[in-house]
Amino acid sequence: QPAEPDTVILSDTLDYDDIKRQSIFNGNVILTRGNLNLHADRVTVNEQADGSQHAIATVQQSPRVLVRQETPEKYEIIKGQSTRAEYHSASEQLTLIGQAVLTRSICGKVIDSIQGERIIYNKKTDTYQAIGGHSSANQRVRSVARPRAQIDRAIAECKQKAQ
Amino acid sequence: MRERLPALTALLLLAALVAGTWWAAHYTHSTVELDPPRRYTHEPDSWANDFVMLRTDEQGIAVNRLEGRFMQHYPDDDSYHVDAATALVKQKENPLTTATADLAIMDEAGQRIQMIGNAYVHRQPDTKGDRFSIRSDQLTIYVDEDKITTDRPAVIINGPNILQGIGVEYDNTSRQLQVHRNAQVTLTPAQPPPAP
Repeated sequence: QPAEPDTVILSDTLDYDDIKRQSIFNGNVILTRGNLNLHADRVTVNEQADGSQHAIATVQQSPRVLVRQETPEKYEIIKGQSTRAEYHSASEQLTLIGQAVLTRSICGKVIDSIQGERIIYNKKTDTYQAIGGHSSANQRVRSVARPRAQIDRAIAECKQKAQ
Repeated sequence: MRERLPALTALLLLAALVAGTWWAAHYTHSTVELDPPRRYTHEPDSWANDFVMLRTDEQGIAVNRLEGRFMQHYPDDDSYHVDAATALVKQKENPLTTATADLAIMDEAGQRIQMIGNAYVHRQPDTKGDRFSIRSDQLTIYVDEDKITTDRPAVIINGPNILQGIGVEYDNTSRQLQVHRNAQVTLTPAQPPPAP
């Protein structure tokens, strides 16, 4: 099991409370963990008892929280956006909440995209699951997925371009 | 009139003698000040080697200890300049903080200690045993408020995490830390406990 990557968080200002073990990052916050990075206006990180971190990202000025995850070996880029995002370092689970949209593209071509009120993306198992939720307009999850063959063709195409 | 001449000259000589001594005494008094006022120039008026100063609060409990290799006291701003200084602050039940620097300037009647040059503050580990230290090239300690501030870039080590930024303010009573600009935090995951 490869060592867990560090989480690096850049921001304009930081308020850290040593008693509550809570850090509040404000202003152009960029959170990077391995090949996952997240942009937001404000991120609150609470350290849990077992030492894992629970981050809550929200936006004030910018329209959405933006999340991006690259997996170079599979030529795959996952982009997500929502009004709020939660990340738990122990389970490596990222939850996009509020008009959440997640698109997966291989070699630049969008393979599948999901919309819903809440999307849970599990980084360890690389799976994501969307939940409709009461407030989204059509209460349902909209998902577009390409057939498997097309995905393999896109990967093969990318391999040739790479050589 | 002739026989009174010697008496008259003696009297004159005596008067000259009295005037002369009175003038000499007056002259010496005016040049040498009996009780000169304090000299308010920025020159050290006292210095010490292996200097230790202990400051206590009203109840007589020590709150601050400043020690160093060489101390100079300046009368104009009543400041102590201490080389290779170590400053310890222990306020009520706040954790003890130990600060070291190349030069410490204590002024404002011991309220403020500026640590200049490789300033490093180490706070006693708390119940969770996490190390907490601040390193910068200049740190200012406010003893009675138990606060540490700097407007320079600083690196804070807090347990496994490293915080960096420009302009830091740490309040040891509420244990709140603010980074004013360009905060950068590296959270290293807590190593899972070694397998039994």
